[in-house]
Amino acid sequence: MVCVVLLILLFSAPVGASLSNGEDATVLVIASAEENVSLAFQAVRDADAAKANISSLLSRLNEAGELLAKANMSYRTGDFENATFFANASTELANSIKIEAYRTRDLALFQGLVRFQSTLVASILSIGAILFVSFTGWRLFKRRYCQRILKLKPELNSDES
Amino acid sequence: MNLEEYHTLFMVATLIFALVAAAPTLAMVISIPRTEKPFSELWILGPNHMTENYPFNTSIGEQKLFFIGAANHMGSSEYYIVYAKFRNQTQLLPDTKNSTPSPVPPLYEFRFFLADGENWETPLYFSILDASINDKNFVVKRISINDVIFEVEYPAEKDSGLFYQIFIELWLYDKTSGKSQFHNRFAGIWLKITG
Repeated sequence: MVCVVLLILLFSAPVGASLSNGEDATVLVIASAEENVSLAFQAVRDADAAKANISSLLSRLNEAGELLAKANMSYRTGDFENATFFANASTELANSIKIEAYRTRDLALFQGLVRFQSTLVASILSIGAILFVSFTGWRLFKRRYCQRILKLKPELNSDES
Repeated sequence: MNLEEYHTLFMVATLIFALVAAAPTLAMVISIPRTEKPFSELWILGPNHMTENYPFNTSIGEQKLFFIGAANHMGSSEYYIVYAKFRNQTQLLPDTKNSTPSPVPPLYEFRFFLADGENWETPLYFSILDASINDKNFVVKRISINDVIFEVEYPAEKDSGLFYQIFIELWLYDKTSGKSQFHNRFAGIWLKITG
């Protein structure tokens, strides 16, 4: 009887340990997926701050988030195999989003810089032109005004009384 | 008008035109601070996408449909999590005064990302699949949310009525801590199990 119990314990221990290992591994894979999705989101926010168009990145992030949610729910229902599968898929997608977000951010920053420089140059040229026109116009106006004043003849009003 | 007044008029006109010319560059440099307080919305709608005809009476195996949604008015893109939870009358709801979520473990979850001003809505199909009944107690054993089946253990006393609540909590990813936190928003629907 004791032998039977010992045999059961002997065979059940590795199974329990492997189950626990499977669960622990799944927890790690899910934690890694959460970290990667968060990093991808931060990269997308950086791209957003650089005034990039992030609608397609957000749409892909939603897919990564959905996969992560599925991983968490599979874990809660005890389906560690699917949980690992979904978490890995989420990590893979999040990593590609992160790379794309950095590329989009850099492009937006470059385009923003070019746009700012061209706007600044246009503003400076416009202000210069306005100052030139204004100064020249004022000088012309002043000359004509003075000429008009000088052409005026003094009038003498005779006192008839 | 004398020459002095004409000079002033020229100066003012020049200044106005110069400001108009500088406006595009100034707009790129000066940012106007946001006056609106940032917030998020969370809602549950009935099966007709309205705030009416919410399901109340339900029976084992009967599927109920809700629509849940959220909107982002935080001023930037945000990462949201909605946890769907289920509780009996004795289990605690979230505490919005102390910004603490309900201690009830989450079952279903949605993760989504919204740009500022965007909203999100999705159907939520809910049914109680299995329950055990004895003389005094009623225990919900299995529930299904959007076809995901959860093994649970939610007892209720038969004498006090078989009331359960399905509720959703809104969580928000916090950039500074790098973790998601309860966003102090929740909504729920009471259900009475009739048979």
